Amino acid sequence: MNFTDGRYPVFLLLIFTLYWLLRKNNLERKLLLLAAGYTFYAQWNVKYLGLIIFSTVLDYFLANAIAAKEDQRSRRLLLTSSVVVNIGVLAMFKYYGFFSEQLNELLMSAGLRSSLPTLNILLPVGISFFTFENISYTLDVYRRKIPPTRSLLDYAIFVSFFPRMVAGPIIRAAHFLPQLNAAPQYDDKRVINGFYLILKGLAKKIVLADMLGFWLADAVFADPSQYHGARVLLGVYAYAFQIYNDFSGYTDIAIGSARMLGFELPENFNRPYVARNLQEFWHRWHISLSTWLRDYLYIPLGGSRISPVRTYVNLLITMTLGGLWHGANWTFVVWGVFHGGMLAITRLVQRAMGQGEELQPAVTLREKAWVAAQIFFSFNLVCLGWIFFRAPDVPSAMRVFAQLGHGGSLGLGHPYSKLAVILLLISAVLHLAPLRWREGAEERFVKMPAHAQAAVFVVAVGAFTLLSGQGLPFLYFQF
Amino acid sequence: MEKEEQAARAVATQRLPRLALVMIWAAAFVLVLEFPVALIGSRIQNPYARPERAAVLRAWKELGGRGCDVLFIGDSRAGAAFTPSVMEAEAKRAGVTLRAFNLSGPSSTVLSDAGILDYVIDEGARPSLVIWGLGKRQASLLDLGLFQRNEATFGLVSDLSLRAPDWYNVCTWGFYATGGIRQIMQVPCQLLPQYRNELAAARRNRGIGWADESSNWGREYNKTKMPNSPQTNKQWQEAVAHLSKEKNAVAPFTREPLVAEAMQFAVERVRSVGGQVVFVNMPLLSGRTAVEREHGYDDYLTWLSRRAKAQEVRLVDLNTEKGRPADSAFKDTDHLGPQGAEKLTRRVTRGIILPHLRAGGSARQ
Repeated sequence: MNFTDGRYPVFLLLIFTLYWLLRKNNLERKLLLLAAGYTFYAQWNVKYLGLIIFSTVLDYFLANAIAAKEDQRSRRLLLTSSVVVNIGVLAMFKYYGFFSEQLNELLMSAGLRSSLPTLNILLPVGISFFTFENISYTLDVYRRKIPPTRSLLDYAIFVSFFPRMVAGPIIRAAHFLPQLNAAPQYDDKRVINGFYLILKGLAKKIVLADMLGFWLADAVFADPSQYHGARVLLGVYAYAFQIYNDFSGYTDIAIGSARMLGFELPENFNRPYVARNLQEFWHRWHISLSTWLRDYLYIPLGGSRISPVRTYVNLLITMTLGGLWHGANWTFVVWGVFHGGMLAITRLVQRAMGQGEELQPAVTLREKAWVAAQIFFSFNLVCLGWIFFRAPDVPSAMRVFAQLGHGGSLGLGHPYSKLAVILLLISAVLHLAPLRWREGAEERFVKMPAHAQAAVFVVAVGAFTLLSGQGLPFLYFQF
Repeated sequence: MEKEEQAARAVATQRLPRLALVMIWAAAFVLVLEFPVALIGSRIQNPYARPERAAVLRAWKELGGRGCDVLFIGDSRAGAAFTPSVMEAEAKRAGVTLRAFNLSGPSSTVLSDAGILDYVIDEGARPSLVIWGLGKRQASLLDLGLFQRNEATFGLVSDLSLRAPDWYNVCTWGFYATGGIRQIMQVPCQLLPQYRNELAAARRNRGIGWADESSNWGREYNKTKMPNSPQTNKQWQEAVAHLSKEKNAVAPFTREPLVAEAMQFAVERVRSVGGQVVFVNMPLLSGRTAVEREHGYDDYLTWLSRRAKAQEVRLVDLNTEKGRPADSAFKDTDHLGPQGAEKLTRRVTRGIILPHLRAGGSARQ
């Protein structure tokens, strides 16, 4: 089931009603959440429910065994088993095909005929997300940051909590399990706030992301040679805002749905395109993934504690693996290396200029102009990366780059292409708007009388229905 | 004890949750909004209106199967692109009197097109020329005459594609909006007389045995006439699932032997009554074409060229760089708007139909 699927509101309202009716019956309430999670997932592929149940049971028992052992060697062995199995499952479903293909090509180029078999299997939706959550759980238990949960039911709900099941945000057990075990308190304001976030997420996805993708970005990436350089650049900018609105829209719906049930999920985005450098970008973009990579990969590799050179290498390794996490394709590897390289260069420059990571607020006009230039430059760097991220393969990405220098005509023939340009501008303005404006809008909606909220709802759903003809899936579902 | 009673009283008198109130208000707004939208919408002429296939067939049957010189067939793209009245007027200007029918229907496939041709020929049609509008989607699908109508749900509008902004569409959009909310909120849709009329019309269409909206006819036809077609319910369900997936995404081109077989069958059927077929690769918005290229469009085109060559049928590709109408001529990514359709019909009449008739095809000079 997709958040933009007509069945989702019915499903959510049903679970919402039942959940609050059962709020005083702890076991029934939890069983409902588990059933909801499994039902939600089974809409994609009922067979892969087995995979989720397998990894849930495995990590539950391994975490408990780790906590029960005092002997460091046994603990490490159990942790390694958890990581190996989780990564192994992910590798088999997500990366086996890619690596076997690369190896076969390598063998063939060396004149060898031996070939690895290919597996014709479907990638389970959300596997990258729940695998990372399972790993973080056993690692946290191993590091004694959290005690293991004694309830298999609680852990199963943590893995299968439906609002964030398929595309995050990546949550931590330490954040989620205490909320699950606290007595639920119904709060009208929080429910309406969640409802507002769902509408906002749908607007980002259907009105902005789908329109930008369909009318400006997709065609450019499909065949850049058909377009002038200016139109290609417009397509790249459109994709930057498409992927932001798509993914942050999904996150808003996930956070809103969870909030309606009384749960808080972590924020995943904080206006990433106003970042002044790529370091700041990664503090604002897909925050739950970047903090996961920091806590469970970059810091264990040594982080920035060993030597400057080692820091750069660690950044490169972390971001390359982060790129590969998005998919088994050389484009994601290049994207990861690009970001790793840029982060390393940022560190190098900061070190050379004697600056820390902390960014100073701009006060004078001159400083503000400098900050604006930094934001513009960083945004364009991010867009360079997006070309690799979006293109189907590296040669196609190179074709997009090559076409950027050819001609200056926008060539917007269809009225909807022109409308999409206006939406792109709106998207940029909304992005640049101060945070307090958004919070203000949220507050105003919550305080509105019921009939005014209903009017907003009617207009919003009307607009979504009109524009939902594209039927495009959420981009991050593929990861 | 007193405290417990107070708590119980508080629960009993607790007002309705805010979300429930919002939903009740929303339902009320929808019901109130629909009346003016329906009223205005029913009084504005639809510039995109095309008679439904069932209605065209009824008109044709009323003529007793006579007077049919040119037939257009294909899916909604051909339905939106070819205007028989424009063609007839253009031919008349050239001194040729002919009658044309556009039997294209939304979501039609090669198989259902073949079925339609077979039926009209059985009923006595003797077309001199059949212009067959083709596309990748049509050639990839196996289902037969399956078309989910939206009228039953939405009232007067007939499809959910994005359209050029104009006053007619402001009203149809109103229907989408209120219809969408009604669908989400499961509010019964038979409150307005228009809906009842539409539903009655849909039932009448089913009654005459021609049913774009019903796959029953297709199933029956399939059982009796098409070899190697899906026969079981499961196969039909798969075809339906395939279709709904196709409708929602850019799908790859799948080379189905049965599609080629159906094309061969249709072309031979037309030839058996002295007619000729021309395959026309239908134009798409330039951006849409570029996206389709990622999903096997070139394979489809190669396949279509081979089919045309093997069957000795003329192929006209209207989706080339130079041949494709300007993007502004389209009302959405796939369908031409009224002016675009008029221009294209004139082009096709002058470039294909009149030369064919002058070269020996029969028509009333």
